[in-house]
Amino acid sequence: MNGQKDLSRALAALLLLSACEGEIGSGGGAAGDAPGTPMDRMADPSTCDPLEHGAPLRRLNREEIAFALLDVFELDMTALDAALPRDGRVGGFATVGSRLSSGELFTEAMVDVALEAAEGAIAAPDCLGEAECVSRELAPAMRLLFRRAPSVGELDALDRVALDAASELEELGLSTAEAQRAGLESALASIIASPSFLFLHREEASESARALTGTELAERLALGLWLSVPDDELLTLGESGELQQPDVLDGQLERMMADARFDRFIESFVKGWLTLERLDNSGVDPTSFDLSAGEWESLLELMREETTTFVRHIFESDAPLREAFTADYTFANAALADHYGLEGPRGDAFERVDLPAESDRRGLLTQGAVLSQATSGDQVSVVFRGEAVLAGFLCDPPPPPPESVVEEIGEILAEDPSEEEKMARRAADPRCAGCHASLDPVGWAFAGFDGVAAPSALPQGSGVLDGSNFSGVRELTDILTERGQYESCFTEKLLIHLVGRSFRPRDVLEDQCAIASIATGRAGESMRALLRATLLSDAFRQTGPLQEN
Amino acid sequence: MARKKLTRRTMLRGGLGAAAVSLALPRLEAMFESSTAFAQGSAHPRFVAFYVPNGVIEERWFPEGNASDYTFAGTALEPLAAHLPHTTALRRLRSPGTEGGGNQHMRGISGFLTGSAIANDRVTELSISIDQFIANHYAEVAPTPVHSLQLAGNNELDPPLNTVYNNALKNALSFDQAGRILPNTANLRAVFNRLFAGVEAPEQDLEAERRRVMRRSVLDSVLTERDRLQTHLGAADRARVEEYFESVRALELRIEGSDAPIAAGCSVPEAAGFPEYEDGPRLHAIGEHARQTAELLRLAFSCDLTRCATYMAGGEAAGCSYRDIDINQHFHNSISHDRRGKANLHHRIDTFHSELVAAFADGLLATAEGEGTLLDSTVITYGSGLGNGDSHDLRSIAFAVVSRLGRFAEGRYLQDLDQRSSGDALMTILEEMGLPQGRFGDSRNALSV
Repeated sequence: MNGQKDLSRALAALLLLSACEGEIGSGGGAAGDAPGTPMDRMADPSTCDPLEHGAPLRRLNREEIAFALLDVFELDMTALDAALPRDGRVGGFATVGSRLSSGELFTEAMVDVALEAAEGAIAAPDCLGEAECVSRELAPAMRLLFRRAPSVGELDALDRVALDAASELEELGLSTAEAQRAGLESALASIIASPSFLFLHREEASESARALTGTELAERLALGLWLSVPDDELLTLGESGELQQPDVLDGQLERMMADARFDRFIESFVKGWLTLERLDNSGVDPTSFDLSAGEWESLLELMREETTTFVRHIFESDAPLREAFTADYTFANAALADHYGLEGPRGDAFERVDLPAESDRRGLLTQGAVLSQATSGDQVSVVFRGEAVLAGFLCDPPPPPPESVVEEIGEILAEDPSEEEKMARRAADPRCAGCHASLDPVGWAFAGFDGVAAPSALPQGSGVLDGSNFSGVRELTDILTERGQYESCFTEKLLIHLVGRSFRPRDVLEDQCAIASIATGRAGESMRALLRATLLSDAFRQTGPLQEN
Repeated sequence: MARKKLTRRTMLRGGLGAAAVSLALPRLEAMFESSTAFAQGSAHPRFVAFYVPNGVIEERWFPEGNASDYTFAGTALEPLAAHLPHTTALRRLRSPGTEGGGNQHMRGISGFLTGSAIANDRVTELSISIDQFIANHYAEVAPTPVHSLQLAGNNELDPPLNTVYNNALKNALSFDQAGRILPNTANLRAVFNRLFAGVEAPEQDLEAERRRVMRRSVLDSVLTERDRLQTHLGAADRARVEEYFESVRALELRIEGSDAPIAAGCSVPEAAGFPEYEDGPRLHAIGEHARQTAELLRLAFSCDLTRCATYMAGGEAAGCSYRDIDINQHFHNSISHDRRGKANLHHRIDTFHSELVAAFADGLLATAEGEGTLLDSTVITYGSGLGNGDSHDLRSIAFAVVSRLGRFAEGRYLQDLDQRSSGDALMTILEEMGLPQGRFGDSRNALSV
């Protein structure tokens, strides 16, 4: 264990020294072919060491709470979802325990949500008032919500909660029927507010890596693919342990991905992968781009829809993941197409639009929901555009500039130099040149687009990356996709969403190995294939003894 | 109305009175008579902070002139002109964060009320902030129904362009006893409900009583699971579950009602003036929100429902625009970092913040309390953890106190505090509020204002 930590530290120190070596992948990342990258030090991915790390204990996030209540009680929980505070995210994903706080803000809202849900969830049974009526009535829902059979003691406690609340309320003047009904609701709300529902299962800690128990596996699958608790079938297979058998697991994966609930995964994963939540607080100054605030808000809505529809299409059509970056089509309605300067759609409905050959638009990178995240106020920053690509699609973000440089940057910005001037200064300054050798050309490739992803007045940017000349986004994506690194990166994002911890392949050998064992040899495969491989991997089906982040 | 009288002596006993006596450094000068207002007053002093993110245009925030001859005319403090007699402006205080590391925005906000410096911008814990220190003290010796309030006009974690900085420290104004960052809320209706929950006689409202009983039974039931769940968890995991139980327990205490008395004559005001605001999304016109907050605090103070509140116009590096003064641009990215082009807009935002603080002070001054007004017992700390925003200056921040408590009743302009830590000013505030400390955060010596 200490050896692993020392190694991590050594690797981290190495990275710090080398910072960026002027090539993509030199900041770390996945199976790059540049010599000297940490990935090359990795052991053969077919023989990864046993896991050291496990996910930190977490509570369900607000989407999962709402969907679980929807699935168990057929309750429309949209309003209740909105009643809960926003969850913290790690790398775009709201599945990491250390960021899911349960302080008073959350708890107060949660108790109200529980009471509100309880009010609409069930009809009062005829037996109300009889002994054990409440526990008999609520036990099936309790089993689903808790992902385990309730104990006798818990069922007794449920009856007691109902009885105590009812008698207190009757004393206060409620009718017997009203009081009993309120008692039932109190009991149900106490299930919904229970940590047994809100927090993931945690078996006894073990000293070494172990397979998830059947119940843990069912829970992880349901949260990952349905953003909800397991249904009866999945839970039953988990409880019996059958779920751990490969053919049973395989059958469940098929079933779950074919289920309508699987669309929640697509929507939620797109949000995390492409950090779409940033758009909720877009830093764009619309007026700087001749848009009113209202116009920009509705465009943002369309851009989100474009990207979600696009990724859903790539997923469902089993196209290779690469197509997400190279597709010469997108989805738009008339308003969005008009904003992009594309022809085709005439109505409000989204349709597939083929991108004209002379356009530099291509794949996700030029979609508004992705591109406009790199706009800051009225500033269209080459650096941020480059960083968004390196961090989001290659999982290879450059380190932040050294502190000595940060103050200078402020002073330089005050002189308001052009982007070309700034790039030239960075290339000439040895403190900057290393990282910016990849950041700047990648970012500059998008010069043909303005800060809100409409065509700009500039020609497309050209440059040299990894020794290859390119001009514009089309040629840039060719260079980027040839590297193959985006598959490892996509896998890393899948793992954060599914396992609920951050993965640091640049620093932690175990994480490098986990990702490589999934992504290696899968060039050209589809999103679905990568997802299946991830779900069947040790990193997903096992847990390590260390519950840190 | 029965209430525990809080004497200056009990407060001194609570604080580190003895240590405080030995305030080491020679006083700069004896600018004030010793504090008398609190010792004689019947009210418990209150603390409010109004925090401005992203710095200011420093040279136009503070007055020109000298300590005996200055006006606020032409400065960002101009809207506070009517309060000049009891405004203490403190110039060339440094942020405590100068001693630490990490992003300057986060050093600035986290140091503002703690007097402490973060070592880097990955930390999640620092030290208790002054509002919590005071509120905790009251919880011990003279509790109010609501411990304290952490409020914000904008509390979204503005998505940073540099992925490193999507960080809770950007909103980190208040910290609890354990040094954990306290979240804040924009939702005034929820705050209203919380403040006035216990004010009306409960038996008059069967529906409210029904809800109270049900809520308490849920909370009780959750708490019974505490022991079972805690047994086999590792420390970090346990802390996360324990956070839930702690907040459930706190809610239960709140519902049971503390022993804190409700002031005679206090009644539930009209709720309509305090709308629901969603936390997270950006509010593009905080003026209305800040005025509603000011009114809510005034009502809460006059009923003595709480005594400590913080208000953050927005988080650091955040982009709320100010449509109520026709500014539609990203405050941080477009305005604060474009000193050459947008300094006038930044100054307008600075002035607008002062207007909001002035409106709050007006309300307190117009509300009688005993023989004086609410402003006689309230310390409003107003400022930013940064000075000039474009350069992220931590060496000369914006800091002012509006109050008629104690020595603050006689306003001052200290023009050159020679980069003493603003934590020293927090120690002065504690002193004036009857809680002198030998140290607070990284500070050891109160300012001699």
